[in-house]
Amino acid sequence: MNVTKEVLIESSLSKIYQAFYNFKHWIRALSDVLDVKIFYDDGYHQEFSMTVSRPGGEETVKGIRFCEPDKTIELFQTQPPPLFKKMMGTWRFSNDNKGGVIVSASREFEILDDDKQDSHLNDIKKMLSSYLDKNLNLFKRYIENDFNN
Amino acid sequence: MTLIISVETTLNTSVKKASSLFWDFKSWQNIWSPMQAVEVLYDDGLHQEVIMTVERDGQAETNRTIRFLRENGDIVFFSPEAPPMMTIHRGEWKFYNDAGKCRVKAMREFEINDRYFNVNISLAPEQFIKNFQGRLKNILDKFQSYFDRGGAYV
Repeated sequence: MNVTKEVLIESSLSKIYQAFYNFKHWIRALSDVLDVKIFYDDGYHQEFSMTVSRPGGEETVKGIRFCEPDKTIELFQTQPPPLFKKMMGTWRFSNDNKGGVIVSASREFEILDDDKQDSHLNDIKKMLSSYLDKNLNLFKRYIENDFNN
Repeated sequence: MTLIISVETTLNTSVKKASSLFWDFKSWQNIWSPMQAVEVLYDDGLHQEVIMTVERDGQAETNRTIRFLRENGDIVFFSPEAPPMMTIHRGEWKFYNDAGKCRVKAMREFEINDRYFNVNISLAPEQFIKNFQGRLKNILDKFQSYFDRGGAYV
């Protein structure tokens, strides 16, 4: 199952990439990110855990990211969120030729209990889609208004 | 200082088959004898996290490795905790079509762990690098032999 969302951000490609690459910006841009622990980061590869606040309580995921500067950040989670069996995804960054950058975020996932009804899967897809959209727009606001290196 | 070594060879197979075999860690144990054990912690077909025990310079070494499979079949990887002789260890297997055969290039990017070589004085860093290059060549030779035998294990 896939979900893709995108947003146009009025800033430079390298600045936008840095915002998504560097986890300190995640904590600043997204109020529901409570904590990030970085286990490894060599500039291209990252291993991390992230704790977020959700309506049901705190959730911690663990993931690996392969980063190609100013182009893509690819993710998979060795410890996905509750309800999910598998979670992976990509952020792609591309100039829109009008001075802005299109950030496209996609997620590919499988849920636990995938024998449940389609409505259950659709609810989860909607929820994930909503988080993805919200986060992209919060990053947009953060980068366009108060982003500092 | 980051060092880079690379070796390459031609395999008597297609890019697709070569990439699939390099991706399959279970096959490695039957092809390259220093690979003593592999525990696959995660594998979704595009990403892997494995713990492998390999023999290097006479010692058993256990490494955790993360690998990504690219759309073109290339495999890139890194070791979150580098082997003891290194402080950084990452690399890639690149596969090219070469007139119906597969040209494979093995690249490693690493930094020498000076503290290790200050203590283990029987192995000089220069010798380690030379051995590392030979080790990569040996891996490619073993995979080459495998395909030359028509895909049969020894």
